[in-house]
Amino acid sequence: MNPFKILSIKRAASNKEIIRAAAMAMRDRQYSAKEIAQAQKMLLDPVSRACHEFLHFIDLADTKERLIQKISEKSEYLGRPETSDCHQLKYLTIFEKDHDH
Amino acid sequence: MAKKKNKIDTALKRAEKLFKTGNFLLAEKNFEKVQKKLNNNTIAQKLEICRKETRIIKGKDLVKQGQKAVEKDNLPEAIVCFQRAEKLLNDPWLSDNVNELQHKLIEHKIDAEAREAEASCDYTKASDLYARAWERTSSQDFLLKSALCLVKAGSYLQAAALFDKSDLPDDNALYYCGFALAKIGKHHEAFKLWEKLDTPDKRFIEQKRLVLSLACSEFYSTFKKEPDINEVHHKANDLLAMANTLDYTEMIVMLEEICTYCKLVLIETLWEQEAFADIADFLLQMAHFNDPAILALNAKTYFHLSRELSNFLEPMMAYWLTALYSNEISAGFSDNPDKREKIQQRLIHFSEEQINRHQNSRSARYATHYLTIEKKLLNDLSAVSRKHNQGFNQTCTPHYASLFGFSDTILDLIKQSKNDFKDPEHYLETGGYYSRAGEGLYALKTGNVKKALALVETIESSSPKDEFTDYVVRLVKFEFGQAALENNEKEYLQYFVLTPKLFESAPTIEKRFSDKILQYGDKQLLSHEKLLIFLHKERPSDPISEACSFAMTQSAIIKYNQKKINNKQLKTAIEKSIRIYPDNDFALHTLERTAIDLETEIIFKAMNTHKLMKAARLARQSAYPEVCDRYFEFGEQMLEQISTSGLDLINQKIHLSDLLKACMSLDPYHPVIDSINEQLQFIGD
Repeated sequence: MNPFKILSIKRAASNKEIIRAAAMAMRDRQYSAKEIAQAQKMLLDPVSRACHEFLHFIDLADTKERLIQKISEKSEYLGRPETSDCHQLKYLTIFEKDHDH
Repeated sequence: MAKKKNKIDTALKRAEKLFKTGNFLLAEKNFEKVQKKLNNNTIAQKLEICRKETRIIKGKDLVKQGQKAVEKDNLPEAIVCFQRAEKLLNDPWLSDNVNELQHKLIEHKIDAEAREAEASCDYTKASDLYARAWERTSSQDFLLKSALCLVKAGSYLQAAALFDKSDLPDDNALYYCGFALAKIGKHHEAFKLWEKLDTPDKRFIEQKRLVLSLACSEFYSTFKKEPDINEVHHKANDLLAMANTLDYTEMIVMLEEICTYCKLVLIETLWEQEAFADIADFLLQMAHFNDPAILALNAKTYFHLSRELSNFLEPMMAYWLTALYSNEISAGFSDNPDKREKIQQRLIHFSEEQINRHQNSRSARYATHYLTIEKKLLNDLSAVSRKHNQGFNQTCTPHYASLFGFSDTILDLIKQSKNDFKDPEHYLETGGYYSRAGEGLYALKTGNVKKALALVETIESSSPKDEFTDYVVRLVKFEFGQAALENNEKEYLQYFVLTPKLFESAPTIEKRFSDKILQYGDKQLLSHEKLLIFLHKERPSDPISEACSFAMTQSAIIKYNQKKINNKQLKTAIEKSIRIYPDNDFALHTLERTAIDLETEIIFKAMNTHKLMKAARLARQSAYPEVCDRYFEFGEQMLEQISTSGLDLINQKIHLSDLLKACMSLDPYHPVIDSINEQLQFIGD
């Protein structure tokens, strides 16, 4: 179970917000009282909360940033004449029927 | 007059005969001669038939001539023949044929002119002429020729438009079409066409590389602006596949990174939707991308998937512990090391719970084994890495190390920390998991010794080896050998050839083996005797000597009890076992008992033949007091036998006196002597 989803709260929610969200969830009745209580308990315990943060959130921003950086560095290669000049393309006759292979 | 009449009759007869045989041409000539004279209606009718038939024959001949002219590509002559034939036969087919040939003639003329223009490098004129011919004939051949000439004339846009109408029937058409597309900036499409061409020609491969780099450049300039990430991903994948066909390393690396970037963007959305199976598909495509966030993503994705399906437990285990023990990931748990460790332990507990959900599955059993092995491995590695404070931040499972090429780094760390391990076995086993034989060790430790042997046998042939690989190979063979022995396989000794070296490198294994032997029952000892003698010959260490000596002693006793050997043979066997291990108390004790039995046996034999003094002397010479005791026991029995023998008193007295004398020579104070004396007194003089 994802306690953050059950309580509809963000990763950075404070303990107060967790308790308030649990009360709201009880009113909404989308989840059972047992599930809501469990979710609240999971998030009020710091060790358990850290575990659930690890399990239910991903943070790919740094990885994406690093990739973009690498891609930008490599893209310089595309601007070099040997890779960007279409004028150097001259037609070949190697596929013509009378071409001497 | 009569002569004239005869001539006409003869001509008529000839004409009739020719008519009947179908020779209408000659028949017609003869009928004409006769008709001039006779002017007969019947002849006139026949004459008409002959003329008609003659026209048909002439017409057919002309058709044949026309066809031959077509075959010889002489279209003007063919047209004349067919036109004349048409006049004679009046057949509409001939009219169509004449029209067709006239068209062809024009086309030939245009074609010839076009060829001439092409030969003189006037490609624009040639293209126009071919286009005219194509319009007249709808022939794909003229269309292609026109398009090719346009390419040669440098009119790429028009060429591409014409190629678009063609079905590109051959390699040449594909090449030129691709060329025109490349020239008008449609590099991606151009490459797609050129992919269909298979030639080792270096110039063409160079052109492909250029076109691909232009396609990539075009893609790169737009990829950040494209709002549809799926579209970007699709294009990048397409280009990557193209780059792979050319082994175009620079492009491959860049496109792989773009693809990975796209996947990460897509994964962010999929994560919100909890579409873990789709994420796993993407992750499989980025299997070699080493990054802490991706490692954590793999671990979490397979964790969630394994909640419902046990087959995801194995991939979960491939990443889970490595993720939790990664310095970069665990640093995010907490700044406090104690709390961090608690979180790690709790997450390990989560994985155990996940495994327990699928208790009865094969995957769960596998995952449990792996978790046990790898928890210990990572704890040990973390400990030695902390101790050496080497800034080593990639403590990972053997599987992960192998996947990302960290195995050698970890093996170096293990070697440098050799003294921090409990004992050589601990050191070698830890390294063994990260060695080339690691899979074999996993198989062995998870109970699949047969698979383990198969795995290490594939490694054995390859070189070079290291101490960890050697250790695993030796250990696997040793364990397999034991299984073979238990299964009564005849050639089991071959698996123990490397065992002395195993014991030398890891004496704790040797000690455990020896201790196990000492606990064995009769049957197991008998089966292990040969192995122990073999091992002792190769490595006469204390544990092996003790086990070997013990097994030899037990084996000799079993054989003695089964009456397969006698006391003497038993004694020899036990003496041999004592030579192997002089501290073998059991053998020493057995030897003593055997010696007593042997001496007693000789004394009994002597007494039975009334050599009482000889028996007493032997008993006296014996180092064992038990032998004297046995002598007196026998003396007592003899005393009783004499008393109840029914012999006359004189004879009884003689026997008793002999017995008394012999006993006195051995121990004058033994109570038996009193009994003998009493009996003698009872008999009296």
